[in-house]
Amino acid sequence: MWENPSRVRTAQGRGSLSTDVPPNLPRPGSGPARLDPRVKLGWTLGAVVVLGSLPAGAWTGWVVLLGALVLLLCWDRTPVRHVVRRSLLALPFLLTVLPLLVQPDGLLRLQWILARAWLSAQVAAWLVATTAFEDLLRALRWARVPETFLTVLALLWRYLFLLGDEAARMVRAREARTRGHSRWPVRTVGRMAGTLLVRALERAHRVQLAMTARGYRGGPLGLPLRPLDPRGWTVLGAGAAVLILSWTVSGWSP
Amino acid sequence: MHIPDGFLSTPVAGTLWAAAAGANAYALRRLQRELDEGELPTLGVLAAGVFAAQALNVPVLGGTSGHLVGTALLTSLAGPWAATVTMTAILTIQALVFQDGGLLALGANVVNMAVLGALVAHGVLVGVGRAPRPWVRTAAVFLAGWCATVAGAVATALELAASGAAPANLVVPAMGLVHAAIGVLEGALTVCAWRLVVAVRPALADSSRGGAPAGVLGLALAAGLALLAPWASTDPDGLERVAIVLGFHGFARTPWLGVFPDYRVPAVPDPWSTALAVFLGAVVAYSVLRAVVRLVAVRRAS
Repeated sequence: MWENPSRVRTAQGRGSLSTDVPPNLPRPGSGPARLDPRVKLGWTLGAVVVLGSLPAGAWTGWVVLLGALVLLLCWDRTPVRHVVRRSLLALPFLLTVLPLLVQPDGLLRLQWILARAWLSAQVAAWLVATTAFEDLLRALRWARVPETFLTVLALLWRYLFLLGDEAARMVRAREARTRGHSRWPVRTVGRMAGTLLVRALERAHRVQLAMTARGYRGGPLGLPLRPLDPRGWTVLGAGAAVLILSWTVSGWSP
Repeated sequence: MHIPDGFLSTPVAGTLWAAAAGANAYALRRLQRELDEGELPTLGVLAAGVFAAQALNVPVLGGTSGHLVGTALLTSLAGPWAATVTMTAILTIQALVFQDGGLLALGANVVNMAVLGALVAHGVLVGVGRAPRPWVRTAAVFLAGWCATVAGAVATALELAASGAAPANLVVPAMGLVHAAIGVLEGALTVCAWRLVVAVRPALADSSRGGAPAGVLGLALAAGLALLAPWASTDPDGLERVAIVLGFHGFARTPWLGVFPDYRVPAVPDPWSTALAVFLGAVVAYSVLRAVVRLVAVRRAS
């Protein structure tokens, strides 16, 4: 069901459409899926900030956070191949920090940056894998993110896959007409992008008319979350305790 | 150019988060004044279109591929504030859902690609793109795409250097040069997309949306990056290094006319001397370009 219909490749494997939509539906009934999205968002942001603040070489603190993440992944029964795939996301950006190797302590600093980047990516991926997008938006609303911006995000998410499929159809049509050998690829792709934008503008106008006809006057598009109950605050506090522990032991060496 | 988490220090990332939040708050207020009620959220649909367009790859040399970013395109069609909010929404989804860019580094990515890119592109479009000749407007759109790409890359490099993640004298020229080449692709894709859109929707061809002050701010930001760049490197450039190693450095002769010889303003101490020379050179280059554009426009009108 979640095979991405927008992934299209030519026979030569060039000029493809590269949207890889992750299945953003947590398994119903799984432990992490039942957690309040505000708790998960708080844990994730807290972990990312603590990771960014740990002094270079604070491996003890890093291991504490790794241990917490492993427990969460085991609780969610995340397959190992998902973890490996997410690990490759930051790889292209490594090229910018390779020059560190020419410095005296460059290798150690490079290792620390890689370890921090990897763990941060895994934490963020866990949040997305266990939280539906609509719940993420509701958690962001609770965190006082401006309502207008959240509505832009909601409509972006709603129409992303529709327009992604539109782009995939355009790529298939182009491949059918050119047999994978477009004479002016930059001009062709530029015009395809322009066509997509024109269709997006027309769709945006129709969406605006439909929303206005249904009485939209700029308010929130979804229901707000109930106030966080004491159990939720307790769970949030437990996560904060782990983050504080990580920060506290970061100065210890094995 | 999406910076992952772990590469920027917390003070640098926090500062850029504050800058990104402030810029978006201002952009949203401006858009709420300029757009109708109910029109602002539909920027989300436009953002979805740009996001889908980013997925269209162009094969380039060496088996790699490139793609449109879209900041300059959005700026040329909808103005810098709509471009800022739209690109911020795209970058937020990319960071939250696709882990393309970090969460702590999201502020930096927004500043580099949404805020700085939109303002620099708008500065170029306001400064050069108002000429009546179509080829000048087309060239301005290309230049806007190129400048937005290079400005974002230089800003990224400076942030990495400030965080101690990479030595400044290597990462700034490396990122700048690579993205100068990538910027050519971005400019070309932006021009092709822009020409098609304005052919279908001529009303979107007005490049003055957003106002001249935003354009001046964009040019000031670009000049500011030029001011910071000389602090990045104290080593000689590639040719000079080769000349020193091979022993023909002494054959160089001082030119008979030198306004800012060796990128220095006489009587001004280093490193301010180099920064001032770069800034004045950029101002002169921009002024000459504007004068040429106006001269062409006046001659065609007469």
